[in-house]
This record gives sequence, structure tokens and C-alpha cells, in this order.
Amino acid sequence: MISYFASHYTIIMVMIGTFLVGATAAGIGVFAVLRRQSLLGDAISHAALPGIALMFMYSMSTNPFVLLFGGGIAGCIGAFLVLLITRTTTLKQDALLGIILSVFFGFGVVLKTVIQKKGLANQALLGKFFFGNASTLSSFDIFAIAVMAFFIFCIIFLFWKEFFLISFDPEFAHANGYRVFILEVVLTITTVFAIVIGLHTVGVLLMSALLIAPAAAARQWVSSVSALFWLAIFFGSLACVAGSLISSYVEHLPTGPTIVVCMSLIVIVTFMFAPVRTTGRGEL
Amino acid sequence: MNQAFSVKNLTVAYGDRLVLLDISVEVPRGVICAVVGPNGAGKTTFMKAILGLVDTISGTIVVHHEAISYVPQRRTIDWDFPVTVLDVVLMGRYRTLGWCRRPSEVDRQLALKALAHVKLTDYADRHISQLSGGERQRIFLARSLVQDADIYIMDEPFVGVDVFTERVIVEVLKDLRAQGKTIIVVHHDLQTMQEYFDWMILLNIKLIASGSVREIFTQKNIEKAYGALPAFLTIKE
Amino acid sequence: MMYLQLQTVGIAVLASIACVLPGIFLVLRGVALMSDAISHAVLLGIAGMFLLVHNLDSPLLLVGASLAGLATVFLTETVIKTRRLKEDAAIGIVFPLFFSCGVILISLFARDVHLDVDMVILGEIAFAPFNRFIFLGYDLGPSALYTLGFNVLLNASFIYFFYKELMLSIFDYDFAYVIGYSPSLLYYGLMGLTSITAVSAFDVVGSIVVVALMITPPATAYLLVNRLESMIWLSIFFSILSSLVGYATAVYCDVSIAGSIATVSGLFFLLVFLFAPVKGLVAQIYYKRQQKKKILQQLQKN
Repeated sequence: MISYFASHYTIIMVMIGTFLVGATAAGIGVFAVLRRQSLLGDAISHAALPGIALMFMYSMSTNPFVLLFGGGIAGCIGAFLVLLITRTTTLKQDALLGIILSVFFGFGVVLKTVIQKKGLANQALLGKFFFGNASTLSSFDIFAIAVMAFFIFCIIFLFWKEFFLISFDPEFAHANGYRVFILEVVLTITTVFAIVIGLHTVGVLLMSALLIAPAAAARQWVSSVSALFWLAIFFGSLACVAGSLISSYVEHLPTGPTIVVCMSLIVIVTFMFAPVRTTGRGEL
Repeated sequence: MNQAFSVKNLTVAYGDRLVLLDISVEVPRGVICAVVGPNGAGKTTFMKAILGLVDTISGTIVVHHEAISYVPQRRTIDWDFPVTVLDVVLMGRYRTLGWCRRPSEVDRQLALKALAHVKLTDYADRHISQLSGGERQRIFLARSLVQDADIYIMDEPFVGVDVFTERVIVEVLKDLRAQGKTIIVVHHDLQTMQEYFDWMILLNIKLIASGSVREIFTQKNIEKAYGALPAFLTIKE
Repeated sequence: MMYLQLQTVGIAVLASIACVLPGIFLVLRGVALMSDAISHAVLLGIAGMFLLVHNLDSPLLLVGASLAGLATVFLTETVIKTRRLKEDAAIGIVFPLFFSCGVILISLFARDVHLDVDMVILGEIAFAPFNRFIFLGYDLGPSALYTLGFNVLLNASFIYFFYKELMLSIFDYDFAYVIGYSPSLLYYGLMGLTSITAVSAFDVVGSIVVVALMITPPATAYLLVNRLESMIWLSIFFSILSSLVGYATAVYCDVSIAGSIATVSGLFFLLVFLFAPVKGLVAQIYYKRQQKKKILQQLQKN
């Protein structure tokens, strides 16, 4: 048993790491999808890049979790800009998400070239955030991911019914005395950091799927709120574990995209076999 | 053919939820017809089925005119879209223009005439977001008029409009009827039935009754459709 | 040296016009993020087609990419029609799958080929003038000028000929259908153009700039004017301005050209968001205060 563990150390680390990321993303993703903010994940993933770059330029540290903290700050700023501009103009959310996504990311690329020019770091460091480097997670990485995942789940369980209420009917929540704005802030920040821990493993371009697909698939099978949450987490972690396992055995198969393909297979199977919900014209 | 349209065995479902069941009805030309029923009765779906906008499970719909004009519910429109009042009314001319051709001065004049008919001439260059609910309903009516159709289909035109708008709309409808057009209106207010309409279709997923208002608008039929008679309603027999 | 830069600038300007034209209608229709989805999904088309023809310069790559773009739109629409998911969720599930498959294909079968995913995202406009269009032995200039020029012509013609049809089908889908237009055909036409544009432009400026130029200038123009025609011209203006200023800044500061263009477009948007005369944030706060004052004054009089 111990010898198996020792010789397959990397694979097991990768599986644990992606499992944690997948579970967290799926969990917080349930709320994003319910609030019709599915693509917020895509926007935040891209918006984090300048934060990572700026944090690097400021701290000169290559500790991924320091950098990801910077990414988190940038992600929060991006998310709040989306919220602010959507509320004060007649522009719709999709346009704002696209603007934040591309502009922030473009700025991050500019910073990246500045860093390269000054010879401060090699391209690989920031390039890793495009696809993540799930295949090279250390036990320290796992520990840090686990800690962040723990905190995120604590927040979710603390604000369980509040989060669901504001996702389902914010006006009702407001009328019942809940400080909807503060809850939205908490939910958004939690989402940002859930995405940010995933960036390191799965990379920018694929976090979107990890947020949406588990909840979207789970919704087709169950309708109670807690069942949805747990089933989404199950789907998300299953895809991550399967994906990382498969990619470790097939040469040159990148981890992130393989996980997405596994997740998509779950979705496809769901669409083929799950009962059709007849909530009038309702959908997720 | 003195019928505007006829519907036979129309059945529509969303998923496995029945919205309309085996509806057969005929509407003559030159009437102002109301489609009434409680919420969820399938009134909007019925209209959309006639227009070909929804998939049906079964049924045949025969429309004995060529040009139908459709005035949808106001809330399906994006009121921040960058168009002026005149732009919207001009859209009524698009059917005649067909593909690629641009509206000409003739079209413009027709649009302005329609705006005058609904008492909104001064609003021609205003952006649509600046209009009240009643004004918005009237520009959609103007767009409809400009089409010079034979059948006009309107979905809840009297909801949330001011008294002046309601009067203007009723006047325009009566003008249209005088020209021999047929108007079908999804309507919600039973109190104005006898005043505004001469023909009605009473629905609640199934057809309850259809015919002239004088014959069909009875206590018995209303109770059948709605389950009970609304307390404030008085029916002049 | 100047001549080379001029060509690069010309390519950048053409790319920006090509992108912004379909982008205006994407924004108005509320599917702005399809530009992002298509920009990512085309990688699968390129990878797949490359594996078929084994030639990086083949025009078939463009065809494959455009097909992948259309397939993304079609699949997304199909998912939406099943009514199991709403638009935003549907988009967010389909394109990551396409993109991941593209990456997997490249990693497994085309590793040693310079199909760098970085290139897809960032493009490299500085090299564009060096790919020449050689016809009958004559060097007719950078091939990008011709591809993008054709693209601009295609997009502009589509908008010119189907202006009122596009406007109506976005504003009032059902009415357009009843009148006899085919709003879904127009939609796929628009998406097809978006795919072609995404592909021909990202070779030069990368997919991030494509998304930035498709969405940001129209959004900026949207906050300034009330008519569709003005919005179109103003969007083109901001788009060209963003690429000119972005290019100049990038050359001066020696940073990424693509990133610079995207950033500059965002800065213009921010400026307009804050300072637009009627819809800007500052103006709104000012008017609200003035209104409050007026009403308070009136109340005091009575």
C-alpha cells in the first residue's frame, strides 16, 4: 500500500488537487448558474491575469498563492465593475463580461511583456496560468488548495439559505430584511477565490466549464436545493479525478482539457438520459 | 369566404404540459374578437399558433387573408434598443419592401400618417425608452396600421395603459372594423367586454365557448371558464 | 522602416473595422460572449483541418475554423432549444469542450508544429507584413491586407444590404418572422461572419483583441448615441482609434501590441462610461442631484 502510494505519488497528488478544485468550483458554481451569471467565471478567470502580473511585479515572489491572491483582487475588481456598470447603464451583463474579460486580460498581457522585457521572469511562469500545471502539484500546493477549499465551504454552509434565497428571488430577500447587497458581495468574493484556486491547476481557459457544467448537469436529475448542490459537487470531482487519471496515463495528454472533456461527457450523458423537466417554460 | 380564419383540433403542449387541447373555432370577417380566459389558459399560445410561431402537436389553421399584423406584448421588447419612434413605425412597411430595399419617402409619409392616427405625431424622433407604457402601446398599434393588413392580432393591448391611450386604441379598432378588417385581441378585463367587442372566444386550455358577445357572454360560460364569477362583474343580459 | 510600420498600422485598422461590424449586432442582441466562445472554439477547426491537410498555410484552415465557429453556435442553440439550460449556461458548456478538444488534438498529434496556442490568443501582428501575397510573381503586399480587406467588404456588405432586416430581427424577433423574414437565417449569417472575422483577425491580433474590439467599441458608442446608424459609425470610429492609439503606445513603450489595443479600447470605454453627456455616471449623478434640488425647492414653495 505504502509503496504504491510512493511510486504513484504525483498522480495521487494531482487527483487530490483537482478533486478539491473541482468540488469547490462545482459547489460555488451552483449559485452562479442559478443567478444566470454562468459566464462570470470565464470573465473572472481572464480578469485575474493582470492581478497576478502586478502582484509579481510588486512582491517579486513566485509563490503561486501569493500571485493568485493578486489575481483574486483583480478578479474582485472586475466582478464589481461588471455589477456597477450593469446597474448604472442600460448595457447588459453579457457585454460587460466580455469587456472586462478582454480588456483586463489584454492589460495582463501588456504587463507580461513588461515583465519579460525587464527579464524578471521567464514566460513559463505566467504561461502556466493559461492551462494550469495540474501535473506538477506539490504537497504544499495541495495543502494550500485544501485550506482555501475548506474556507470556501465554510462560507457556503454559513450562508447556505441566504445564498440560495438571493439566487432565487433577491427582491423577496430584500423585503424580508436581508442585506442583499452585502450577501452578493460575499458570494461574489467567494466565487472569485474559488475560481482563482482553480486557475493554478486547470488554467484560465477552462475554469468556466468547471463552474457551470456540474451544476447544469445536476439540475437535470434533481430539483431539491441540497441535492443539486451535492450532486454537482459529485459530478465536478468525478470529472476532475477521472480526467487527471486518464491524462496521467496517456502521454502528452494535457490535464485541464481532459478534465473538461470528462465533464462534457457527463453533461452529454445527462442530456440523453435525464428526465425532461416540465416546469412550464422553465429551465435552469 | 366570409370567415377570417378557422382552426380545427388545435393541440399545443410545452414538454408534457398541455397548453391548448383540441380547439376548433371559426371567426368571421369584420369583427373585433376577444380571446379571454384565466391566467395560463393558453390565450397567447393560441395567437402564436395562428401566426405560426409555436410548434403544434396537431390541428389545422386556415387563415383566409394574406396579410396578418401582429402586436405583441410589450414586455418582449428591449426598450433600450437604439431606435426612434418613427423607426419602429416604419418597420410596419418592411413586409411590402421585402429584402434589402430601403424605406422611401412614401413609406415615411405613411408612417407619419399612422402616428397621427394614434395621436403621437410629435414623438416621431424620440427615442423609444422615453415613452410611457400607453405611448409604447400606441406606437406598436401605429406600426400595425402601416402594414395595411386584413387581420390584426394583438396581445393584451390594454394592460397597463392610461385612459387616453385606451380610448385612442378603441377608436382605431372601430375604424379598422369599419374598413372590413378583422381584429383579434387577447383581453383580460371582463368588464369592458360588451363595450369593446362583438365576438369572443372563451378559453381555458379547452374551448369553453365562441360566438358573438351577445350570445356567449353569459354568467354560466364565465363560471365555466374561470371557475367562479368575479364579484364586481355585472352582465347585461 | 516607416513603410513597414504603415503596413502594420493598415492591417490593424482593417482588423478593427472587420471586428467591430458584427460585434455591434452581437452586443445589441445580447450574445456578446459568443465572440469569446467562437474565438476559442475555432481552435478545434484549425487543429482538425491541419491534421487533414498537414499544411499550416492552407486556406482550408480558415474554412475549418469557420465551420467550427458555426458548429459552436449551432450546438449552443440546440442545447438552448432543449430547454434544459438557459443561454449563458449553454454557451459556457459548448465552447470549452470545442477548445479542449482542439488543445488535445494539438498536444497529441501536432506537438512539434508551431501551432502555438499563445499565438491563437495573442496573435502576432508584427509579423503580419512579412507574409506576402504573391500573385503571378508580383508582390502585392501583405496577405493580411487582402484577407482582412475582403473580410471588411464582406461584413460591410452584409450590414448594408440587410440593415433593416438585422435591426428588425434583433429588435422584435417574432414580428420579423411573421412579416416573412427569417430571423434565424439572419442570426446564423451574423454568426458565420463572426466566425470568419474571428479567424482572419486572430491570425494577426489574437482572439483576445478580437473579443475586445467586437464588444468594447460598440458598448462605448451605445452610451453616447440613440440611433443605430450613429452607433455603427461611432463604433467604427472608436475601434479604429483604439487600434491606432494602442499600436502607437505599444511601439513607444515596447510592449505587446495586441494587449495594448485591448487595454486602450477599455480605457475609452471607461472614459465614456464616466463622462458621457447623458448616460455617463458623472452626468447621471449630477442630474439626479439637480432633480432633487428642483423638487425640494418646489415643495418649499408650496
